[in-house]
Amino acid sequence: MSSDTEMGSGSTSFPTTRPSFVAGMGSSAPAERARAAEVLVSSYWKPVYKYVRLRFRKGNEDAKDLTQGFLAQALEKGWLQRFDPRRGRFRGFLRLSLDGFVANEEKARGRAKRAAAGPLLALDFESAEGELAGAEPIASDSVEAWFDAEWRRGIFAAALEELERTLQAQGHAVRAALFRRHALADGAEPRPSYEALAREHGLDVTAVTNHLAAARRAFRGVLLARLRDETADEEEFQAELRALLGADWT
Amino acid sequence: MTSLSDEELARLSELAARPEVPGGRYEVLEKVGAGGMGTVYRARDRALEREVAIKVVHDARDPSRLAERLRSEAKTIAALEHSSIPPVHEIGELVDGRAYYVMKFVQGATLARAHAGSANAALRLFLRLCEAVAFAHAKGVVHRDLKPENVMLGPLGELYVMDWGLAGALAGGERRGEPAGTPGFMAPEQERAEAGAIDARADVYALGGILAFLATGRGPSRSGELDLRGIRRPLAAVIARARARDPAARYPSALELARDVEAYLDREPVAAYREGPLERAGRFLVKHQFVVWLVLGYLTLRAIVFFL
Repeated sequence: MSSDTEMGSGSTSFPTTRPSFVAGMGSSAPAERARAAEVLVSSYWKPVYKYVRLRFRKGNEDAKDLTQGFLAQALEKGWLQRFDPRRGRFRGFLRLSLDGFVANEEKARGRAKRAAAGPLLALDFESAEGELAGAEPIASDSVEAWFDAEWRRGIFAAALEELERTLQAQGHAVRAALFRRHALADGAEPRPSYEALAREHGLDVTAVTNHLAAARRAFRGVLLARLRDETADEEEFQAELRALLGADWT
Repeated sequence: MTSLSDEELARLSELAARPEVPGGRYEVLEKVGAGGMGTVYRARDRALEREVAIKVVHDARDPSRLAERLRSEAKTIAALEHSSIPPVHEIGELVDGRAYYVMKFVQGATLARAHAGSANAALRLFLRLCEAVAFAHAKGVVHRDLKPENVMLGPLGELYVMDWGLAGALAGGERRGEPAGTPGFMAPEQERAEAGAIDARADVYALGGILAFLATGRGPSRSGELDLRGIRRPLAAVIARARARDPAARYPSALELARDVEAYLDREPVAAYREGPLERAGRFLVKHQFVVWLVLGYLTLRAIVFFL
C-alpha cells in the first residue's frame, strides 16, 4: 500500500543548480576556490582512496598516486564542474569520473604523468589503511551503497575536524576535548558520564552540560553547512539529510 | 584524519539530530516517527510529569518555508478542539532555531498496523473517523492527507486523526499550486493542484481509500486503483461513490458518507446502490433473521403436528 506523503516538485521552488562547492571550483575568488577544494578533498578523499584500493584492488602506493592524481586533476581541470544534478547525485558522478580516470591511467600507466598533475595534497593515508583492515573487495552490485556509506563517514569526520579546529581557534579547547570524549567511543571503555568528564577536566557538571550542549549545536551547524555546500537544491539536501541523520520518513 | 566506526557514526548522527527545547522543561526520550515535514519525538514534560510528543521541523536549505508550515499546522490543530484530534500545548523554536510544537503523546498504533477487529468493528471505527473529519470541515479545514498511517488507535479504543501538515482552509482551496498528498489517497483534483478546487470532497475521496483498506485489508495503489474483491456490492458501491473522480459525483460530505456506511451496517438500503428485488428480499431476511427463524420454526412445528 502506498503511504508516502509527497510534497510537490522540489524544482518548482528551488531551481536545479550545482552544489555550491562545485560552483565554487570555477570561481574567480581565491577564497571561494580554496573553500571548494577543502570541501571536495576533506569529504571525498578517503572514499576515493578506499574505493581505488578495494574496487580496483590496487596496492597502497598505486592507490595513493591515483587518489592524489584524481583530486588534483579535478581541482585543476575543473571537470567536476560538468556535473548536472538533473542526472543524479554528485557522488555518483564523482564515482563514475573516478572509474574513467582509473581506466585512463591504466592505459597510460603514467605514474610520471600523475605526479606532474599538481602539488601533492596532505592526506593521512595511514588512517585510511587502518580502516581498510579486513575489508573485502567491493562487489559490483553494492558499489553505490558502499560509496554512500563511505561518503557519510567522510562528511561526519570532516565536520568533526572542522568543529575541533574552530573551537581551538576560538579558545574552546576544553569544549572540543569534552565533545570528542562524549561523542566517540574509546575502545571497549564505556562512554564517560558527565560526572566523570567533570572530574577529568576539573569542572562542575553544569559546566560540562553547557559545554556539550554548545558543542553539539556547533557540530550540527558545521555538518549542515557542509551538506548545503554539497547539495544542489532543497530536494537533494533533504534526501542527503535523511541519509545522514537517519530520519526514516514514513 | 579522524577514523569513525559505525557506532561512532551513529552516535554523532544522533547528537546532531537531537532536539533541544529552551528552558529545560522537556527531556527528549526517543524518536517515534517522521513525516514529510518533521520528526516526532517522545519527551517527558518535567513540569507536569507527563509524556508529550514534540514535532520538530526537518532541516532545510530554506528553513523558513518548512517552519512556516509547521507553525501553520500547530495553529490549525489548536483551532480544532475535538476528542479525536490531539491537542497542541506549545509552539516555539529550538535552541538551534528549528521550529517545533509540543502536543499530546498518543500511544497506540496507526490504523495501517493496528488490528481494527471484526469487519463490522472496523466499519464502526470508520464512522468515528468520518465524524472527526466532518468536525474539521465544519471548522473550515480540509485535512488533505488522510490515510491509514495518519489515523492512530489508542489502547482503550481512542481514535486520533494525526498529521495536519497539509491541512488547508476549506474556502481557500489549493494553497500552494503544487500537488501535495499521498498518491492513491490523494483526490484527482488535488493531484492536478487545481487552484480553488480542493474542498471537503477531497477528504471524502481519501476516506473512500481508507474504507476500502478497512473492508479488504488492501489500500489503493499509487494510481488510485482499488481491489474490492470479496466485499458485498452495496459496500463496494459506497466506496466507488466516495472515490468518484469527479468531485460532484462523490458524497458531498464526510457525514453523508458515514450515513451510508451506517446504513450498510444496519442492513438498510444505501444511497449509493440500487438493489434488485432479490437483494432486497435477501437483506430483509438477514436483517430480520431472528423473526424469520422464529416463524419458520413455528411453521415447521405446525407441519409436524399436522402430519402426525
